[in-house]
Amino acid sequence: MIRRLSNEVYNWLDDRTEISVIIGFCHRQLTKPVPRHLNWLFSFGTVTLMFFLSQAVSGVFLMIYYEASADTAYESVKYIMEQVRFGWLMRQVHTYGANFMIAFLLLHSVRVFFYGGYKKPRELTWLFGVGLLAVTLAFGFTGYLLPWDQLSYWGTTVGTEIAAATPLIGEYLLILMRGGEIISDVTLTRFFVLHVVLLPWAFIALVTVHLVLIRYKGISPLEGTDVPEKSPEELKQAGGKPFYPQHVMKEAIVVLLVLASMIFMIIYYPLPLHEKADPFNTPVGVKPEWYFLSSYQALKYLPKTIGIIGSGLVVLAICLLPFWDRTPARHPSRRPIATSLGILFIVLNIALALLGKISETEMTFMGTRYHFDIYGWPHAIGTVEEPAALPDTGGEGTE
Amino acid sequence: MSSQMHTGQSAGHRTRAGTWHSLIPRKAALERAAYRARTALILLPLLVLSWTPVDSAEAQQTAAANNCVSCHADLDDEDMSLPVFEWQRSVHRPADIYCQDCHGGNPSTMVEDEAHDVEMDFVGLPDPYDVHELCGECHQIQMNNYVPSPHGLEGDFWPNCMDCHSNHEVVFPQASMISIPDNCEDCHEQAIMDDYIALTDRGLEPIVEFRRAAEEIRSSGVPVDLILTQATLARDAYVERASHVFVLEKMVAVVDSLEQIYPSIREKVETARTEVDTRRRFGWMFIGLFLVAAGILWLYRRSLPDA
Repeated sequence: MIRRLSNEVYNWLDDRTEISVIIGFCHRQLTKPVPRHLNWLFSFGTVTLMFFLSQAVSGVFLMIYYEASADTAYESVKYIMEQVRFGWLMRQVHTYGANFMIAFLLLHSVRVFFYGGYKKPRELTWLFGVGLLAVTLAFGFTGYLLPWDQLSYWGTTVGTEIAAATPLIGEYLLILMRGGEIISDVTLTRFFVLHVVLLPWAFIALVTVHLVLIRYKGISPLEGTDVPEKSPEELKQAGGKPFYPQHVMKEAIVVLLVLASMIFMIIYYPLPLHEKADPFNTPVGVKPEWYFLSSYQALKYLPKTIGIIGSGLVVLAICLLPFWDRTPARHPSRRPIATSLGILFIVLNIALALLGKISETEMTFMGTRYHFDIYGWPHAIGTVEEPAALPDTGGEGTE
Repeated sequence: MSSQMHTGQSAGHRTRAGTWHSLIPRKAALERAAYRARTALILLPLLVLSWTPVDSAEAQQTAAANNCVSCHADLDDEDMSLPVFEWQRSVHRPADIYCQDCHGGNPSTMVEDEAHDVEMDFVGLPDPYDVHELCGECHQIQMNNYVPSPHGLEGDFWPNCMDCHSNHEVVFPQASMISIPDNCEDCHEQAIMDDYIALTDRGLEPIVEFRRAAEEIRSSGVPVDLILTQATLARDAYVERASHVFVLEKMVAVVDSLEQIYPSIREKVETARTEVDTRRRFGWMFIGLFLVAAGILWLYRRSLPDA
């Protein structure tokens, strides 16, 4: 009875919309076999996409209460955190979601690099992926300012100053980004528009093409580009498993585990809202977010112009990677130079980020206290203990 | 020198242009540019791999950007160098209170005579009878309470601020300062001092506890502004009416009145903590759900014929 009724509804709908064509297409895509070598690392892209959807949902919720003005932005975020029912949760999901999304996008990029997934005929997929990385980092950069607290205000000040070092157009870029000489109401408005209008649509457009290309060309094999790629039927015969349910289940498990770890972080290490932005009070040791730390730190060691040109060249090299690395091998062990360079690049970035993290701080090692200067370089400042811990009564001396 | 001149000229130009508030980021950018220029030839890998502490004189200058500190730290005469290390352990250092704030002089020069120029208000050893006024420049309420107290005018300014709080190693005020050996006991019986200590603890410890709890809770998004406001009001009341008055009866009255309001603040802290705990319980519930769901999917995947 139910089956007959549903068949009738389906046929009625199909007569009017030809939905069977879409369903047939989706079915073919879902059952299309994927290569045998697909392991858990191949779920990072899906995790990133899931975080984009999560960011969109939590972002819309936040936008209902958020007010993009220098006078009210901070208060509105505080209101969301403290007064709106589940507002704290939405803000934490959005803030942590941004960090997780960027982390998994970076992991996904690293995975694609080491598996040679960018090679012929998937150059365009790689290019759109790099575009997605750029848009996601822009999401992070613009969203960071929106709470309008001290950290975001001065972090953005430092970030936009880096752009000002670009040869010829630096000053123009700075004014364009800030909407004036300093970070102000105007900056907040344009960052907000970028964050909630332009970047989401850019992301949707790029990710659509990226996914279509992945589905069209299939997942990259491990064999070299000189070996003809297998058709779906050949893949199936060679032991390839259908995309659904085998690989989808794998991705769903990873998504659930990542979500569980994000909830753990939210309930035990919630990201606080700091003091309201004060343009006249520069906090000590202002730094950008972790994903910009390595480039921020690298720029400290180089003359400004060379640093900016160098960063530009690195970005260009990453974009054009499939065009200058045209060796046929894909397996990481068969291209030792590329693999070594990739590892070196990652280690260098982590080292720079760590140096950036410890720069302008103080720490005690083996009874000696060190001050780390802006380069992260340690200077002994005496054999002293940690400075006296200050019981906080909310002001200066009491009794 | 040229760098200073350059900074000055740029600052003047921008001030005339009417964009004085852009000075902060520009100045920082100039300083960074100078740093970069000095180290342009240093190779990145060397920086990453290096870990060699430099000598303490250079370190002090970098840490404090203050020539009093860098010069005195390396003097052989311990009477002249020890104050630097004592100051490093003090609460004044994180509060950015440097040598010149109490001793005057010029911290921007390495020339001895210029650094100790009396025309720059240099005072090597402040007069003990003026110490309360020196400290009182910042700690006004404490000075106002101290001057008419039994230790102030009545006691000929004995003991003065430094006798209890130290001169260079100024640590955060704490009740134990009321019973410093060879200091208070010359005049006071231990029992009296114990009464003062107990009273101070009763008055201030709850405030410290409230603030610590509120700061922990705040990042969870549970409102704590009311707790912080009430704790600050209680603290201000204590400082204005009980701190440095050195009359037990006055202090008892203040602490008794404060203890009337502490239970209501404590209740707010407990309510906020309960809210945080509730969120954590719900969080664990969802973590459990997701882990169970992941486990079920994993089992289902294992059961697939192709797996």
